[in-house]
Amino acid sequence: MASPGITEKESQTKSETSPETILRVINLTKKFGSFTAVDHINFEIHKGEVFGLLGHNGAGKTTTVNMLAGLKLPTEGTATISGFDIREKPLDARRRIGFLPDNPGNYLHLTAKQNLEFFAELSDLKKDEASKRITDLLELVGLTEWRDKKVNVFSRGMKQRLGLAQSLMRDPVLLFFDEPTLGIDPEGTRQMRGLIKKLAGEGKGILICSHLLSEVSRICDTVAIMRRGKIVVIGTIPELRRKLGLGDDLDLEDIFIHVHEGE
Amino acid sequence: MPGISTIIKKEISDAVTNRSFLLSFGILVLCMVLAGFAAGNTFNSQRFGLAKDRLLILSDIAPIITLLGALVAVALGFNSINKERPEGSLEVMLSYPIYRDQIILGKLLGNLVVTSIATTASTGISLALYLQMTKIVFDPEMLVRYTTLTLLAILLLSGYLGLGILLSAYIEDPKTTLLITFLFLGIFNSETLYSYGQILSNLVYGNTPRVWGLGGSVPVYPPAKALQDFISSLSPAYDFTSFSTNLGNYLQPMTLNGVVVNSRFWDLITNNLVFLPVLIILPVATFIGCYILFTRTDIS
Amino acid sequence: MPGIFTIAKKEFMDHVSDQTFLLCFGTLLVVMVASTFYQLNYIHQQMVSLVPSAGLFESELWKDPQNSVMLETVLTGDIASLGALVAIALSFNSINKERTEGSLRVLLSYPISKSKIILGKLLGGILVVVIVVLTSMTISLGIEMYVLSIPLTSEVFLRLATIVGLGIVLLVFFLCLGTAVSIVVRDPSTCLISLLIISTLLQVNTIAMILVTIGNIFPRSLHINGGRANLQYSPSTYSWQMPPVLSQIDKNWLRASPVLAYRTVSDNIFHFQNVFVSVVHNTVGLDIITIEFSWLLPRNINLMWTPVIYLVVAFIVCIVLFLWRDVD
Repeated sequence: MASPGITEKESQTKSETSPETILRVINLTKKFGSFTAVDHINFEIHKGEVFGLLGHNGAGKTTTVNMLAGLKLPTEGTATISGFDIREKPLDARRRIGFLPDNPGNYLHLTAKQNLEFFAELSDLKKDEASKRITDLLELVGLTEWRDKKVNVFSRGMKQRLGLAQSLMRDPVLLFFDEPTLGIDPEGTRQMRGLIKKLAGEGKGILICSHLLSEVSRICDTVAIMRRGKIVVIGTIPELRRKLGLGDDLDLEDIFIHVHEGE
Repeated sequence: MPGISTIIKKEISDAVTNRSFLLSFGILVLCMVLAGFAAGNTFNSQRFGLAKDRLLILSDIAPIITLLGALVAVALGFNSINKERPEGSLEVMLSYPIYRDQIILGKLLGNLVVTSIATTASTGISLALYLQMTKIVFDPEMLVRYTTLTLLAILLLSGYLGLGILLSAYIEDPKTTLLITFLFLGIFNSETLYSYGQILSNLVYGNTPRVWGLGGSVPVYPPAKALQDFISSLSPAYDFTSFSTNLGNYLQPMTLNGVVVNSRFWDLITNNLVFLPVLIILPVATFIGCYILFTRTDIS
Repeated sequence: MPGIFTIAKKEFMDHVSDQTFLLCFGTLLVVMVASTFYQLNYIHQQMVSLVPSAGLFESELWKDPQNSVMLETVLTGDIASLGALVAIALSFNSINKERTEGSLRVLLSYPISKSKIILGKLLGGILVVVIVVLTSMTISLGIEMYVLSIPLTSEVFLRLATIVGLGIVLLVFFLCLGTAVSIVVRDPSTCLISLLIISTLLQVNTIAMILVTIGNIFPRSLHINGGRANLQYSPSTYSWQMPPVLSQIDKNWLRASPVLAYRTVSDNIFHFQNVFVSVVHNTVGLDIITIEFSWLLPRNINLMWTPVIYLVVAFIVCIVLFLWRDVD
C-alpha cells in the first residue's frame, strides 16, 4: 500500500542510519518532578522486527511508548523514526507510526466505518483513497460485516481489532501496541498474533508492551526487560539466557523472574 | 439494627469527605453569612429599626436555600447509588447478609441526616449573625418562625435529595443524573411554572382582569386564580419562597374597630397551608420511589 | 487546515446527536416559550389597562420603557441560566470522555498538533452554541415581534443583534470554562458539579446579593435593582445616565460578573423611548423622547467588555492548559 503524507523532499532529508533501522532510541529519559520514570534507555528496532518491551507495572514501558508516540515530551534524550527526530520533527515522525493503546481508543457512539473515516480524514487521505483503505483494513481485521454497527456493541476483541485497523490507516513503518492481547479470548489472541506476524512480514517494525510473557515469547524477535525505568537486558531469548548466564531450558518467564529477583 | 446503622454511618462519613458536597456547602455557608450581614446592615440603616422588619432575615435567606441549598442536596444525592456500580461495591454489599431495604433506608437516612444538619447549620449561622448585628431579642415567636423556616427548608432539600437518589438508582451514568436533576430544577423553578400557570389560566378562562402585585399578575376571577395558583404551586421552590416570604412578615399587634386585624403566627400557618402539599409530597414520593426501585428491581 | 475542521466537524456532529445536549436544548426552548408568553401577557395587560390619555398608539405600546424592557428581560435570564447549562452540558465531558475511551491518546499520536486538536474541539462547540442562541432567541423574539407587530427597522435589528451577539459571547465563555475544567478535573461528575456551582454563583441573584453586601461595606451603597443597575432618565437634562449613587468602585463590581453585565446591557439597550408628563401653563402634555441606538451603545460599551474579556481569558486558559498539561 502507498504511504500517504510522505513527500519526495521529506524522503531526501532522512538522516544517516542503516536503511534497516526504523527506530533508534538514544538516552531517552522522562522525569516527573524528582521521580525518574524512564532512565536513559537505548535500543533500536529494524524493518520486519517484532520488539517486546517487558516489565512490572510502573517499570516505564507505557511512558516510553507515550514518548515515542508523541504523547509526552522526553526530558532528555531523543529518538528517530525513519530518521526523523521526534523532538525536532514530531509531526513527520508521527506520520510514520501507528499507535494502538491498551484501551483501543475507538469512539463508542460511532460505527466502525465512521471511526475509520474520521481517522482517515485526520491522516489527510483523499475521499476515494480513504474509502478503499477502510474497506481493505476492515477486511484485514475481519470486521467487514460489522462496518455499520456501533462500536459500543463490539466485544473487547473486536474493539481491539478495530483499533488495529485504525493504527494502520497511515500505512506506518512502525507500530506501537500497548497490551494488544489483554482481555481477549484465545481465538482472538490467535487472530491478533497472526495479524502481527503478517504485518512484520510486510516489513513493518512493531513494538509491543505486554505482561503476557507467553505471548511475547511467541511473537517477539527481540525482547527488552525494563526495571525501574532502565533497560536491564535486551536481545533475543537465547541471547538473554547467555547474557544472564542461564540454562537453555529456561523460558521467558524464568528469565523475567530472574531479572526481578529480590524485589 | 446493625445493618442500617452501619450504612448510615458510612453515608455520613462519605458525605463529609465528598468534595462536591464540601464545596457546595462551603458556598452555601458563605452566602448565608453574607445574607445575614446584608440583612443586619439594612435593618440597622433604617432610622427607627422598624419592627416589621425584625424578621427580614427569614425572607432574605429563602432564595439562597432554593438556589444554593439545592446544589448541596443534589451534590449528596446524584451519584449515591450509581457511583457504587462501576466500583463493584454495590454488588459486594448486596451479597452480604443484609436486607435490601436496610441498604436503601440506610442510604436515604444517612443523606437526610447530613442534609438536615447542613441546612440547620447554615440558616442558624445566618440568623446568629443577623441577631448579633441588630441586637434584636430572640423571642419565642422568632424561634418558632425560624424553626418553621428551617423545617420547610429541610423538606425542600430532602425532596431534591430524594430526586437525586431516585435518578441515581434508575440511571447508570452519574453525569446524566446530575444534568436531569438540574433540568428539573430549571423547569420546576418559580418563574417557569408561574408563567405556565398564567398561560393555562388565560387559555382556559380567557384574558380576565388581573391585579398586579410584587410577584406578577394574578387573575381577579377566582377559578382563573385558583388554576394559576395550582400550577405555580407545583414548583417546590415557589412554595418554599412564598411560605418563607410570609414567615418573614411581622406585623405589630393592631386593632381596627376593636377587631385584631394583623396576622398572628397561626393565622400565617393556616393561610399558607396551600404551599405545603408539594413540599411534603416530593420527598415522600421520591423516597418511596427509591425504596421500590432498589428493593424490587435488579439494581446492580 | 484539514486537522482543525475535521475535529470541529466531528465535535459538532457528536454534540447534535448527543441525547443529553438535545434534552437540555429542548428544555431551554420550552422555558423560553413560556417566558415569551409571560411577557406577551404582561404587555397585553398593560395595553388593556392603559389610560387612553397616554397618547400612545396601541401599535407603539411596545416601545414604552416598561414594555420594551419586558420584551427581552426574561429571555436574557433564560439564556444566562439555562443557556449556560446547555453550554456546560456540551463541554464538561469533552476531554474526559475521550480520556476514558482512550481515543484522546490515539488522537494525540496523529500528525496533528495539540493546538489544532483543542481549537477544533472549541470550534465545534462554538458552532453548536451559536445555533442554540440563534434558534432560541429567533423563535422567542420572532413570536413577540409577530404578535406585537414590531417592525424590523434598523433600530430594532441593531438592538436585537447586540443582545443575541452578547448572548453568544456569554455562552461561549461557559463553553470554554467547561472545557478548561474538563482538562483539569479528571472525574466527569466532579467536573460537572464544579461547573454547575460556578455557573450558579455567576447567576444574577447570588452575585447581586454579594455585591449589595460588599457595597454596604464601602462608604457609598450600590444601587442595584433586581441585580441590575439600569440607566435612569433625567427629565431635567433630557438624558440617560447611570444611577447617581453608583461610585467608581461600585461600577467595577458591576463588571465583575459577565452574567450581570450581559443582563444590564440587554435591559439598557432595549430602551426605545421614554414618555413623561410635563405641566406647562396648567396644561398636561406628553413628551416622548426617542432614544437612538447610537446614543445607547457608547454608554454601554464598558459593560459589554465584561463578557468579552471573560471569554477571551477562558479561551486562552483552555488552550494553554491543553497545550501545557499531560492531558491523556
